[in-house]
Amino acid sequence: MSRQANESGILSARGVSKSFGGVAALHDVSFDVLPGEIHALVGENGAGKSTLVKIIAGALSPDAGEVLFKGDPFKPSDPGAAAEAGIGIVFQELPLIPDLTVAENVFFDRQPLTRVRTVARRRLRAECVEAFERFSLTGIDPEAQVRDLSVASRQLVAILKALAADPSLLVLDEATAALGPSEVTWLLEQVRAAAEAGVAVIYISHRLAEIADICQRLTVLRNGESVGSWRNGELESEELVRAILGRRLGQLYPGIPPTVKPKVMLETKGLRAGRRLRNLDLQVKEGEILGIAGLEGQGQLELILSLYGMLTSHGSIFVDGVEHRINSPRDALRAGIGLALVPEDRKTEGLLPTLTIRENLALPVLHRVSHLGYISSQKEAELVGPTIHRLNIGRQDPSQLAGDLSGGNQQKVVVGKFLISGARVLLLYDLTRGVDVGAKAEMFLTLNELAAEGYSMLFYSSDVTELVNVAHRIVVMFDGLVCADLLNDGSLDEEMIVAHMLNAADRTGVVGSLVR
Amino acid sequence: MKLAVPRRHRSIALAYLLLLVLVVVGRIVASGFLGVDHIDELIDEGALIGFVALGQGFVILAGGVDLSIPWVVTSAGILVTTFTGTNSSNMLWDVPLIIGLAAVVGLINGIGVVFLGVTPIIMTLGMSTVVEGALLLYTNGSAGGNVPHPAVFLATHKIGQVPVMGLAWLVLIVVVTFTLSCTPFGRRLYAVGLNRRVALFSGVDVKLVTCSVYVISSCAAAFAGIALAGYVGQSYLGMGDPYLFTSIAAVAIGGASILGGTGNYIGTVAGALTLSVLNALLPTLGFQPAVLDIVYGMVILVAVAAASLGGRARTD
Amino acid sequence: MDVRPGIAWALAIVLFVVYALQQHDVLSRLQLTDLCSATVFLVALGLGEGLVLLTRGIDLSIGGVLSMGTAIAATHFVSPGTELLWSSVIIVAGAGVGVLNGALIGILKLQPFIVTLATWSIVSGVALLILPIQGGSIPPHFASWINQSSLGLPNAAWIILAMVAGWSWFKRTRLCRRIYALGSDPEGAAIAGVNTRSTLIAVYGMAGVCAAVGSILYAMLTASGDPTVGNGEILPAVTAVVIGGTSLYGGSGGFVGTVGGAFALTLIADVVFAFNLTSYWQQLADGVVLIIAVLAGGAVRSMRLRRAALRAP
Repeated sequence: MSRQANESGILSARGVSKSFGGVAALHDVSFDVLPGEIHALVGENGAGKSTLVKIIAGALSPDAGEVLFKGDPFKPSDPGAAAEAGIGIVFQELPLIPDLTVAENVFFDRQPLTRVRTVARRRLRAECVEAFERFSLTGIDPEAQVRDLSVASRQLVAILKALAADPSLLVLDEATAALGPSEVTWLLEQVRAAAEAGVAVIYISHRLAEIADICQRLTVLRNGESVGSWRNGELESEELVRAILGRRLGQLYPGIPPTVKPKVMLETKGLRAGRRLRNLDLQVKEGEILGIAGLEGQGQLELILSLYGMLTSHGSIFVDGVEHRINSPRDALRAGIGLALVPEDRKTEGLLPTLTIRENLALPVLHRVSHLGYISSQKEAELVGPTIHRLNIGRQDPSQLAGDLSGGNQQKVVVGKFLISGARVLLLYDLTRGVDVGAKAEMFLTLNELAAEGYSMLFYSSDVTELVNVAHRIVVMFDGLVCADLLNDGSLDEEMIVAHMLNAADRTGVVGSLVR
Repeated sequence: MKLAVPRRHRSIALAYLLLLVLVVVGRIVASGFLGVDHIDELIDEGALIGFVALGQGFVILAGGVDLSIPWVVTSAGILVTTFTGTNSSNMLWDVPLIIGLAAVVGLINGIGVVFLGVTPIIMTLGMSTVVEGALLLYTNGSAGGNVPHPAVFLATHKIGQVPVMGLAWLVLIVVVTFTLSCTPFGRRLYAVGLNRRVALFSGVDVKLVTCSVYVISSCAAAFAGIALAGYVGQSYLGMGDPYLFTSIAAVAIGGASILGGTGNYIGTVAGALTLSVLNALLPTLGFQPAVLDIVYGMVILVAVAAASLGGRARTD
Repeated sequence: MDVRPGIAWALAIVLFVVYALQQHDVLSRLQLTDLCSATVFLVALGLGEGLVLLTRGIDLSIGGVLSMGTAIAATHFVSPGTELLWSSVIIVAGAGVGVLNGALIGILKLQPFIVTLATWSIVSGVALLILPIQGGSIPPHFASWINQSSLGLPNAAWIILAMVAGWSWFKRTRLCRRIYALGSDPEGAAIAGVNTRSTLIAVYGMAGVCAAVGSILYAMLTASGDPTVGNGEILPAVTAVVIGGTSLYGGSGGFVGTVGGAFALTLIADVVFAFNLTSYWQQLADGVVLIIAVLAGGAVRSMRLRRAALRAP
C-alpha cells in the first residue's frame, strides 16, 4: 500500500476529530510516534489529551479521521482489543480495580491457570514478584487488595501492569500526578529503558520539567487542536508555555470597560470547605469581573461549589452586605447567586437537552411564572423572551430543543437561566471550555454588558490569556488560600500570572519547579 | 416534510396506533367483540389499570420504580371491606383513612430512597413484604366483609350510558395531564427524572419531588384497590397481584422511558386501554389467562428495547 | 479480613440459640435435617442472585424460574427414571431464561431490573400454563431423598456443602475475577479488557441455572408444585445475599455469607413459630431485615470510602 510507505510511525493519528453533544473535544488532530521514541503530549486541562488517549485505547471512536497502528488502520472495538494488539495504557483515572489484589490486577486477563481452570495462586504470586524484580519496584505486597493501597502505590501498580505486558506502544496519561520525587525517578528510568528496547512511548504530563528531561519530541494540544510538534529543546520554555496557554488574536477580546463600582456585592470571610479550601477571604464589587487563577486543584472548584451550596462550607458569605447561610443551590439562588459550570466530562450540567430553551430557562423561576398553581405560558414567554433575544441564543426560537444548540449557545442558555433567576452574582466556572472562537468572543462581549449593568462575576478559567483579557482583577489561589491579588490595570500579562502561580508553588516547595 | 406529530409525542402516537390495530384485529377475529357492554367492561378494566399506572408513572418519571403497589392495592381493597362493611356512612371517614395509611407507606418508601439512599427496587420490594405482613397480621389472614355501596357505585354504576368509573378516570386524566404539563411540580418532576444534578443546580428541591412521587404512587394504588373491591364485589388476598406487571407495562407501552424523564399520562392511558383490550381479547381467542402474563412481559421487553435502540440511533 | 459474612453467621447462630432455648428438641437429628432441607433451596437461589448482585445487577426472574421449575416437576416427574431427564429440562430452561436476560442486559445494555421483571412475568405465565393451580405431585421416593441422610449428614447439608465447594473452586477462576472486576468498576473493567457482554451472559445464565436447581429442591421439599411460589421467594433470596455481606453496589461479597444469611432467614421463621406467633410476623420480619441489611451495607461502604479518602495524600 502506498500509504504504508510514508508511515514510519508505530502509531499515527490522521485528522482525528471528536465532539460530545455539540462541544468539540478534538478537531483535526494529527501526530505520530516512532519506535523507540518518547513523544510528549502537552496541553492544558481540556485540551483534548485524554480524549485522544481514549480513542487510542478503543474506549471512544473518532467522529472523523483515523488512527494507524503499525501502518494499518486501527479500530479497536474495545480496550481489550487494544491491549491484545500491544498497546499498554496507564490511564489518568480508573487505574485499577479496587476489589482485586495487586497480582490479579497486574496479570488481569493473563493469569496462570491450574489444571482445574482455577487461577494458580502461587504461580501468579511468583510471576508478580518476578515482574516487581524485573522492573525493580519494591515495597508493595502482591497479595494486598488494591483498595487498601495509597494512591501513589496504586499508580505504581498500574504502571507496572502496563510494562509487564511488554507492549510495543506505551501510553502514560498523567502517570506521575500522584507520585513522589523518587517514584518519578523510577518511572522515568523504566520509560527510558523501555524506549531503548524499541517501545514507542506517548508521555502525557503537566510537569514540563519531566518532559524536558525525557522526551525526544513533543506535540502541543490546545482547545482540541494541535498547535504543532517540536523536537525537545527546539522551544524555549517561555515559548512552550505560550504555545500551551495560547496567545490568540487581540480582537477575540473586546477590551475591559471600567464598570467596577465601589459597592461590595460578594464577600467571604474565612471560607473553608473540603480538604482543599482552607481559609479564603474574597471581595467582589458591583460590576466587577474577578478572575481566579491557579494551578489545578488549589481550591478553585471548592470555592465555586461552596458558594453555590453544593459543598458544606464554614466561614461567612455576604451577598450585598447581608450574611447568608448557603446549604443548597436553592439557598444560593435565593441569595442572588447563579452558577454556570462546565464539568470535567463536558456533559453540560447546566441544561436538560431534551427540553426546550424556554423550559430550561424557566426552571429556576417556576414559582414566578405560575399563577394559582399552573404555569402561565404568557408570563413564561414574557420572562424568557427578552433573555433569548438579548443573549442571541440560536435561532431565537424558545421552543427549540436545548440539545440541538451548539456548545456556545448551550452555555448562553446556562448563563441566561441565572440572569432570569435574578442572580446578581454569577459564578462562571470554565465557561468557555470547548467553545469555538467566535462563540467565545460573543460570550466575552455579553459578560462586559452584564458587568456594565452591575452584575458581579467570579470568573474561573484554566486559560490565563483569557483571564488577563477579561477580568478587572485577578486573584491567584494556592493551597486553598489567595496568594496574590492583582489589579488588571493594563500592566499585567500572562507571564506575570504564571510566575505568581509558580512562585507560590516554589515558595512552599510543594510542587517543585514546573518550568525549567 | 415535517411530521405533524412533534418528536417528543411520537411514541405516544405509536401507543394509540397499537391500540387501534388491536381493536380492529379484535373486531375481525372475535365476533361480538366491542359490543356496548363490552366497551363498558374495557373502560372499567382500563380505568383500574390506569389508576395504578398513574402512580407507577410518576415514580418511573422520577427515575425510580415502585414494586410495593400490589400489596397496597390488596390492603386497600381488604381494609375497605373490613372497615366499613355495608355501612356506607363510614365510607366518608374510612376512605381518607385508607388513603392516608397508603400515603404513610409511600412516605416510608420515599424516605428510604431519598434520605437513606436505598435503591428503589430494594426499598419498595422490602416495603411490599412489610405491608403484606402487616395486613396479614391485622386481618389474621382472612379477608371478608362486604363491599360498601359507594365503592360499588363507583365501580359498576352508570350515569346515563357512561360508567361512573370511566368518568372518574376522565377527571383523573385531565388533572394528571394538567399537573404534568402545566404546573411547576410537573416541570420539576421532568427535570429530576432527566438529570437530578441539573435539577439541583437549578434550585429544584430534588428530595421533596422524589419523595412525593412515592406518596402519589401509594395513594393511587390505594384508590385503585378500593375501586377494585367495588368492581369484583369482594376482597381477597392477592387481589392486587396482577397490577405490578400491568402498571409497568402500561407505562412502558405509553412511551415513557424506564430511566425517567420522558412520557406522559396520555400515553399511559393508551397503554392501560391496550392491556385491557388484550385482557378481553385473548380469552375469546381461546388463550388461557396465563398467556396474559407472557404478553405483559413481552410488551415490556419490546417497549424498553425499542426505546433503547431508538435512543441509540439518535445519538449515533 | 472482611467481617460481613461473619455477621450473617452470627445472626444465624443467635437465632439458633434463641430457637433452641424455646424448643428443646431442636438438637435432634430430625430438627437439624428439617432446618437444612428448608434452607437448601434458598441457598441455591442465593448463589445465583449473589453473582448477579456482584455485577451491580438484580435478577427478579428467579421468581418465575422457581415457579416454572416446580410446575414442571409436579407434572412430569411421573414415573421412576424420568426425574433426572425432566430435572435436566428444568435446568436447561432456567439457563435459557438466564442467557436471555444476560444477552438483553449485556448486549442491548438494558436495565437489569426491567429486563428481569419482564422475563419474570413471561416465565410466570409459562408456569401457569404448565400447572394452572397448586398441585401435582412428586414421587415420594424422589421427594423424600431431601429429608434423608447419607454418611451421617442430611442430604440437604451435603448439597449445601457441595455448593460451597463449587464456589471455592469458582471463586478462583478467571471468570469469577472478571465478575468481581465488572461489579467493582464497570468502566475500569472494560478498559482492563473484560468482555462485558459475555461475562454478563454467563452471570445471568448461572443465576438461571441456580434458580432451576432451587426449584427442583423446592419441589422435593413440598412434594408438590406451585405455579406462583416464586413470587414470594425473590425477596428472601435477595435478603439472604445482602445479609451475607454482598454489596448492592457490586464488586464485594461472597457465597459463604449468603449461606449464613439463608440459614438466618429460615431460623427467623422457626423462631416465629417457636414463640407461637403467626407466620405473618415472618413476612414483616423479612422485609424489615432486608431494609436494615441494605442500610448497614451502605454504612459499611461509606465508612470504607471515607477511610480510603483519608489515606489519599
